[in-house]
Amino acid sequence: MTLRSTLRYVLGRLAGAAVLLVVYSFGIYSLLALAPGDPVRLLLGNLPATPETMDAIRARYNLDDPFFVQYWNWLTDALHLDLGQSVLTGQDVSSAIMERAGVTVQLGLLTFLITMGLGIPLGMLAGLRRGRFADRLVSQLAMFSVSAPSFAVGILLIIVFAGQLNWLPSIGAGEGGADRFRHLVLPAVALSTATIALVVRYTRTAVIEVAGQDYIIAARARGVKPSRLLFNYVLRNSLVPVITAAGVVLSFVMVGAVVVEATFALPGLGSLLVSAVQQKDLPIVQGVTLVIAATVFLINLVTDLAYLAVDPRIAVDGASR
Amino acid sequence: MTEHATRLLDVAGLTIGLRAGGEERVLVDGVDLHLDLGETIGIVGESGSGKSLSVRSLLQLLPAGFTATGAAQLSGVNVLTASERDMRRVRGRQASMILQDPFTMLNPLMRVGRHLEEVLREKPQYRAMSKPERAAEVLRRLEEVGITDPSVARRYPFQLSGGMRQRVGIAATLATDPALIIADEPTTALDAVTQQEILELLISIQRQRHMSMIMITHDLRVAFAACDRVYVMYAGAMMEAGPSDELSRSPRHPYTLGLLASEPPLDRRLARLPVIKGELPSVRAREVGCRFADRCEWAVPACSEETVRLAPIGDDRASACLRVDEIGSDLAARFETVEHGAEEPALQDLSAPVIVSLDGVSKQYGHGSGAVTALADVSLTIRQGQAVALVGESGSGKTTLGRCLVGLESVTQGAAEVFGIDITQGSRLPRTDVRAWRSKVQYVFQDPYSSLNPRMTIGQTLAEAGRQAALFGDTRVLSVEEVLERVGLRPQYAARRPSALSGGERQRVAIGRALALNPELLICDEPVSALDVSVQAQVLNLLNDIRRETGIALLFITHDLAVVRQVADTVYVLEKGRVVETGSAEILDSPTSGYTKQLLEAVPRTSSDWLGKRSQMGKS
Amino acid sequence: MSIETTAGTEAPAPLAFRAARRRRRRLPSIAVLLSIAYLACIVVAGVFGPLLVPHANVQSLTDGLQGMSSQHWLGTDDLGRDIFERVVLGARTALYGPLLIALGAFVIGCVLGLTAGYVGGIPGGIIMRWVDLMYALPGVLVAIVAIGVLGGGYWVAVAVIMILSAPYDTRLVRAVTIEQKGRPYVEAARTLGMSRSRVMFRHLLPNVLPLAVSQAFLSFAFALINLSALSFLGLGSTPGSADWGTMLAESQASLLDNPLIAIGPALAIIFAAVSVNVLGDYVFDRLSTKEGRND
Repeated sequence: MTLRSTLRYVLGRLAGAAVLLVVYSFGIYSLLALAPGDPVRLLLGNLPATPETMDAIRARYNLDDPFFVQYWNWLTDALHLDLGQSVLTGQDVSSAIMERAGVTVQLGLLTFLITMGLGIPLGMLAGLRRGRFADRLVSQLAMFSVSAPSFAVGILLIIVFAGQLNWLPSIGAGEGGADRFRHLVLPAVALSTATIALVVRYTRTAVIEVAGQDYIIAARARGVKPSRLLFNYVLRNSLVPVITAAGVVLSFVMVGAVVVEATFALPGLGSLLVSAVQQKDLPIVQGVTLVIAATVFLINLVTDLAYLAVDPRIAVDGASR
Repeated sequence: MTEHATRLLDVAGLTIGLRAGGEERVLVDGVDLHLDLGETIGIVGESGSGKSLSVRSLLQLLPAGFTATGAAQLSGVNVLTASERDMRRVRGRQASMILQDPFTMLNPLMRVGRHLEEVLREKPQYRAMSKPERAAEVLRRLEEVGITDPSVARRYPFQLSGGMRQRVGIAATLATDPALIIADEPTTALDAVTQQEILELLISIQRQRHMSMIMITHDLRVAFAACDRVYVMYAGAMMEAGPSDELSRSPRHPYTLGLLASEPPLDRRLARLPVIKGELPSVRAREVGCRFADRCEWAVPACSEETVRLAPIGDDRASACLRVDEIGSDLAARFETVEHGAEEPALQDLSAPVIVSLDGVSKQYGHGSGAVTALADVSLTIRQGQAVALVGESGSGKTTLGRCLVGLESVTQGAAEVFGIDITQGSRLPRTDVRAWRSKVQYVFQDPYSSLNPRMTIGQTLAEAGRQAALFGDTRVLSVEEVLERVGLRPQYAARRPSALSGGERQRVAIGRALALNPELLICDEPVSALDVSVQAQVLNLLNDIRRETGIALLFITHDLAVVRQVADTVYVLEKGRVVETGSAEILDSPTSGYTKQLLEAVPRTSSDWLGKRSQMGKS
Repeated sequence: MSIETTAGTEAPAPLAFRAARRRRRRLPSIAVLLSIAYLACIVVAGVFGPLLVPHANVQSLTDGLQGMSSQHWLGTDDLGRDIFERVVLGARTALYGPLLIALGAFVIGCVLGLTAGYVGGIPGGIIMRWVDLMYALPGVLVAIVAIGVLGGGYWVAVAVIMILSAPYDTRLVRAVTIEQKGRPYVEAARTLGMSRSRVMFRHLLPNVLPLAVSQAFLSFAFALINLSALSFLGLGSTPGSADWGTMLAESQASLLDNPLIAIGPALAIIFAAVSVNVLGDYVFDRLSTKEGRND
């Protein structure tokens, strides 16, 4: 029974993610048709618009087929990691993505670590000291940082740490481990201002909610050790909502990276997308968008599955969230 | 005074305050109590009496913002001033606590066995054990609370029923072998039959282990049945204390008398239930005088000027009434009349026309294998002017049936006619039929705290109901003032919002709103179960008055058989969606169905033999 | 948490806790007053900006990259324009777009949310599938791609962000509606035979409003941040215009020469978003405590 409902839960989530991806990829592909101007000319890019080149483009992208057939061909190619070529450089979209993904993934992981590493302890502190000075301080800071857009923070960071203090480099990704890290610190801090606030709020609310529960009072009354009370009761039970926060943070970071990479001129997926958008390089736009969206869906899926590990009620009920 | 050698707990002048918005509210004012080894005491009071706060302060478990002053010696430690470090030695070892709601008392992410194991490990003799030995000890302790299935230890709390969870909660509380166990309304959230079982369990364990116990309850009968001595609290102050059997036979404080009298009797129908006038006071700053004076029939001006603390009046009894000596005989005389109040036979006209007729009605939620049956093959008749009671425990389907009759749920199978309208058609009914149905059948909900729109004044709510009546073609629409008068509220209430009203007042408004449509059938879904005892009787009297005056038919949905006795002509007993017994109210005297007998058995009774033979062991 | 209750399952909050919960009648804190003051400035600047600073866009290459002075409070940019005056002018796009988005999402959210929550059925199902889909989408990414590929500038960006914000309002309103619709006061309205629209708008809406209004403040802050982000990427306001995001983007070249070019608009955005959030919290507190509670 347990196994079956667990399996049903997992399969349900998987199917949901797959459906989303299909709907979303259809939207992405439709961009080509929706974009102002003739798709052929869009896809020609810098090539001269002769009848021969235009025919070649039509053939390459099956533009004479009905729209759904075009989409189907594009999707099956995409599943084989063939996302077409850049209109401007002729480079394979998939290899362009591979080249740039590294920086983005490193930035994302660093941001995630900073966010969770600071957000959860600060949120717990605020929750456990509710109404006291520490709580008010943390909550006010969170209110401030959730309102601060990453690009504005990023530019202020550049002015202070790169301009005035000259401690850290302002732009670029650097070479090699330590140098790369030095280059990623400021972008990661800029990106994590908003997400830390988010995690602080989730954690604080969860801790306050759990700390007021009868089972905490009952456990104190029967003399459960304070350390067990903190870890097995308060922490364990607050973890469930914090998982949601972790998923939201990861998705946010993937998308927020677009803006932050532009701020710090990092050669990642985000800046690839922004330049492609500005130059109307549609195959690149489609490819990068698809990859980022697929990653976000994957993160949501993993979040859903993480509940299974934390909350036994889901495994048994198969309760949907 | 008993000898101090056996004294476990001595509380003197316990005062609990709450600082909110710069002002200090006094929630518990100068409480004195004591408890001997092996003794069980009850603390009885309605909401806001401060009974729970008082015992929580003994373990320093008050919520943030509350402060406790006074003295409380528990085994030689002043638990009000002890450091958190010292309290860790008190909690669990000296005293432990069971809470009210079994559904929130256990850590939802921890298996049952772990709850016991983690506290067992705190004691050296169990810490030295091997893992399997400790596991066996856990099972042994679960057996003590009547859980013999060893697989329960590996389950999570959410996989257990309420009664089972409360057993596990008790086992976890007992795991540290405390000298004192505090049970804070341990059975309030449970059905009557389960309540009886859990109380029996607690009493028998207390006797076997020779522990002391403090039981907090709002139900005097439960306290009298389970405890050696009982303390009665009101609005933060102690009113009276004494041995159970004496207190139940001769109350020496007007409040105790009122509380005893408001409890509707199970064995006879009274023409009118005795009531305590007024409602519970709101929490205020420290005040002088008896807190019950406003509602007391015997109050004299001096009562509001002088604060009297619980004072001994002989025979191990104590009362906080200033006039206890003067009014003693008065109280006794009044108690006599209450015990033998004027009875009234149930009245019904079995030739009156049928207004509701259900035949083989079933109701299912969901489809296929996951379908849940709420009602199965229920047949029921209500005649004009009749008062019918639907009785059952939670999950019996009684509320579902009521909701079907008013159109909040739909019937899945069977024939159902209300005032000649076939209600099985649901949303396909013609508009005129729907209007006729609405104007003839109205509903009063259980929870008075959310049954009024918080953003509308009472006047707006009642006027809106009147507007509906006019819309349905009613020519004698009652004005807001008339409605308020009918439910016993002053016209000034029209301008107030629900948040300014007490529970009893809100329930009156809800009844008024239903009456504004001049219905012929009023469905009352547990209308008094969320109210304090002293207010319950007022609302029951109101409903009986309205019925007498207007000849309206009542369908009373309740779990409380004593309430049934007071209002119903005809009774239907439901068990798991089926009618198991039907008849006039006299079936309460001679039930035929085993289930009805069980329900009757489970109604709390003052005498201690209600809790079975086991609890009698060792009682003098 | 409940400490003591009377009989029955739906027990009233005990008096002690009702007393504890009843909040003090607080005067607005300094943070709230500052927020109101700052937002008032933005409103004035947004409405009367061109009248207040008529010369904000006048270039004067000889006055480029000056520091703070009594003449130029925040100095000048590389084209010699007064940075403070341009920040004042930028209030326009920081006010109108977010306001429109917050209002639009609020109205859409209330109508769709109430429908999905109270009526349910097929329309409710369709609304919720749409909301789920939008929720799973990375919103900013969609906005970047849609505006980048389709073109259109500021007002298209406003429309896209409004469509992306509405699901949040819808989901919230629906959740509150579902929570409220099981309450006896709504069921009583139904048994009194009131029409569906009367139940929805007379009974449910007033009780849904506090949360929906505070969500509108959140929408405003997020719209402000996202619109400036788009402008920052060159996708919202036209390049060269006095928009805080655009100004930040164009400050990057001379950032280290005159940091004031960036600090002005950066702080303007941050303070605006903070003020809106602070005010939103305050408004929610007021709305939900003022007679709104049943217990």
